[in-house]
Amino acid sequence: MWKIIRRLCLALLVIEIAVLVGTSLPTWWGGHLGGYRLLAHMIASGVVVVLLPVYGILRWTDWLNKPAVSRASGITFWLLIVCGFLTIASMFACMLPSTSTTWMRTLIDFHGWIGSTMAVVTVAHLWQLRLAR
Amino acid sequence: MNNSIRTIVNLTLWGLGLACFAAVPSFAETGGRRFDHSDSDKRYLHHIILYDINNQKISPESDQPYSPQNTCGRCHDYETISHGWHFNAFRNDAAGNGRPGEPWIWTDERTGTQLPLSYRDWPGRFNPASIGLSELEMTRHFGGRLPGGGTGAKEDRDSAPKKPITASESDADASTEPSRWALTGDLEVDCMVCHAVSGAYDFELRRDTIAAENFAWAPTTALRLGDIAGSVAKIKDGSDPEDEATKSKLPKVTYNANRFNTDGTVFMDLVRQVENNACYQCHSQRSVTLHDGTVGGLDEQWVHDQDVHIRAGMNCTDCHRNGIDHQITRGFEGEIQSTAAADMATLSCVGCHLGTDFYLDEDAAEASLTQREIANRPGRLGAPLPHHVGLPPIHFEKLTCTACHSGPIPKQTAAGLMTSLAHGLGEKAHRNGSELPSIRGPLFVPWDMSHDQGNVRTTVARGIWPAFWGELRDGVVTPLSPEKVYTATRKSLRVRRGFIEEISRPELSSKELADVLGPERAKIEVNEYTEEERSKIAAKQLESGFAMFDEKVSASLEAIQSELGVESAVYVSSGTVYGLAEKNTQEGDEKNAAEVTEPAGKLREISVKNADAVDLLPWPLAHNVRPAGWSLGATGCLECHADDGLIFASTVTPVGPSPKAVAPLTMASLQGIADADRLLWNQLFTGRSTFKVLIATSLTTLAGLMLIGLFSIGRGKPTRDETLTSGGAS
Repeated sequence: MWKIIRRLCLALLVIEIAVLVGTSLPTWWGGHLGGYRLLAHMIASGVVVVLLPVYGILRWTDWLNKPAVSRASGITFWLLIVCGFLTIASMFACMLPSTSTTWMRTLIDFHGWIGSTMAVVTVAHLWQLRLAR
Repeated sequence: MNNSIRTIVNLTLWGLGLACFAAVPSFAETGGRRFDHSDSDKRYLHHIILYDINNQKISPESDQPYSPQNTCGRCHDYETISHGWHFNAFRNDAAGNGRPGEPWIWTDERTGTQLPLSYRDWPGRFNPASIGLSELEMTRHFGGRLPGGGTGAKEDRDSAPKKPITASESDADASTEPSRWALTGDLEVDCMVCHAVSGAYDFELRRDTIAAENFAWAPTTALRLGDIAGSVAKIKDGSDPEDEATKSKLPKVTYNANRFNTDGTVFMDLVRQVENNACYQCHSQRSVTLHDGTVGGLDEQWVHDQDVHIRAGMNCTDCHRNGIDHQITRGFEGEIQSTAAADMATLSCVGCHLGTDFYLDEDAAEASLTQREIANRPGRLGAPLPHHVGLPPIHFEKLTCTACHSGPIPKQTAAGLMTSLAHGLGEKAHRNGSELPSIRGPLFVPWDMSHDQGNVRTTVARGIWPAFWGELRDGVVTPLSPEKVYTATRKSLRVRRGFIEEISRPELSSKELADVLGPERAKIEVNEYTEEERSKIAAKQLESGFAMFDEKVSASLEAIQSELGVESAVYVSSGTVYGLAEKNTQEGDEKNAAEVTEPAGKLREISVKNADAVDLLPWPLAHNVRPAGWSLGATGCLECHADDGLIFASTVTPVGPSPKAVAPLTMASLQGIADADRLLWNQLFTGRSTFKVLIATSLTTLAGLMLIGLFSIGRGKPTRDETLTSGGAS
């Protein structure tokens, strides 16, 4: 049962991260995130905000009972958690009524880079899990 | 031999000539200066000889007006100055027109006309020449708010590029201009309009003088250098200016001898940096409170706050600067500055407060002037650096600074606005706020910042719905000359005071009042009416107005068609085009009109192909800038991103002289935002606080997980591979 939930979480997480990457792609070429793309980005981010800690807990508690399938899968998992934390935190800081425009721009830049890294790490994590099977 | 000597002499002379030429400082080396300068920050006292329009010295006995061109132009580069901003208001210079501004609004209360005009090639405005308004008529009508130059000066009239003109315009110019200009004289660039110290220049007297067609006498009378006897307006059209009888009727000046010093000079009390009072003459604004779309009265002056920059001790000219070319910095983003005045690019909201590279991307910013030039960094004139805490940068891509920071405080419905140019603020008059033109604001409309459809942002603006009498041809409506319309409709409209108060909302007779309120209440004073009684009276006025509007406008359209030879006349008001509904004209119109709605009485409503000619005409406003705490969104996201957020949900009602009640428009609809989209976004913002809690919880969980992970790494928990290798449990 937990295994199914964990796999479902990961699957949804991967889909939402794909949506986040897809909706933010035009900003890499100078466009800005607005309109329905921003709306989709925000909805997907809401899902990630919920699913990432859920998946983290499920995966970690699973490893408490039995060891990680490989060192690489463990590394990619923790990288995913760290990148996810930084991606969410950078946008959370922007939402606080204390961040100036200059800081906000820096944080948004950082959000873009760390978010992209998170997407790459997610793919790597998925690949490692598949290899372990 | 002789030839050789001649050659040597010639070469020597050429060489000497070239050497002398090279030794003389070039124009550029002298900074383009052809005149002497004081080159000091102190004020230079102007005790000067006055010269008249014939370039003769003026003495107390002279009877000719003084000429700014011949007087000031002796020491200042009049030619260069006269091409500056303000003086070219009656000229079209595609490269230098810049951001569209307030149009000249030809207003005639008698015919219900508020017609936006401009010689500049700005959208939504009509070129006066194309509708048969002569340059003389324009100067007579608007000259009181023009500091001279443009069509008012002969050199400009002669050199002005002429657009294709209609037959009616040709008639107008041919019949009036040659003789009238010779009589009125030129409305020269009057330096003292702006440079006189506050109180030394009589703007009211100047306006009266121009209205009397004494154009050339305006500078003299405005400085109160003497009294003017006579009025060109009283001289008949077509009078020969060379005729002695006509000459004898021209105004004469009686100079005030006390103004002349013993050496014949006159003290001109002026300053280099123009005082605010001079700007206010043409750039003042008052708001009008509206109740349910009707005018509640002109807001008292004491309730208006000044611009924060003025309160901080700045002057208009601190930002709106100019060099000798008088190309005054308008201060909007994207304004093109000459290379010599590149530093002036910082004289905009963003330039002073955030720096000129605020909108640039990283690479461009590194190469920008802000990085290289100290003068282009933020903080000019002590401007505070706004942090905009909590405001996502997308707002800077979607909104202008003024959208949140400028204009009258927005309310649920846009207020009425009165401006100096449109309503003659500054003149003594009994205004109640209902005077045409009906300007509304603040409006939040999309604005193309770069004029190439590439950078559209929402800005704050004023706007009007044009009202005019026009001609419908092939589904396109074009205005007719307001002067000709007035003549043609004088009998059919029979308006003495105002179109609205006599046709659209006529005052009720005592019998009508008695019918509405009862015989007893009908006799009481107006200010004793109850709200219910006021509503009843307003409803009755509107009912009468519809009937009268239908009758008189239809009669006037017929009169215009017969007297002006127009095939299909129409009246435009509040975004609606009215045409005749009679069968004989309907047939003709149906092929012209893009779409025809059902007839209502003698009039019918027509859709036209050039909707921009009849729809809302907005123009951005920049002042007054409100304090930061009074800007939109200062209290958070929900101030705007809520169902009642003023920048989207406030409304403006199309208004004009006709009695038709048009449904209010939301600002969101003006911005092209669908209500469903707006409501969807608002819902997201409503849950923003909850989402923040969710994120915080998520981050806390992830942080806890990471700490545990670190702890696990510290304990060196083996992986399954390692466990299997060492023979542990799987």
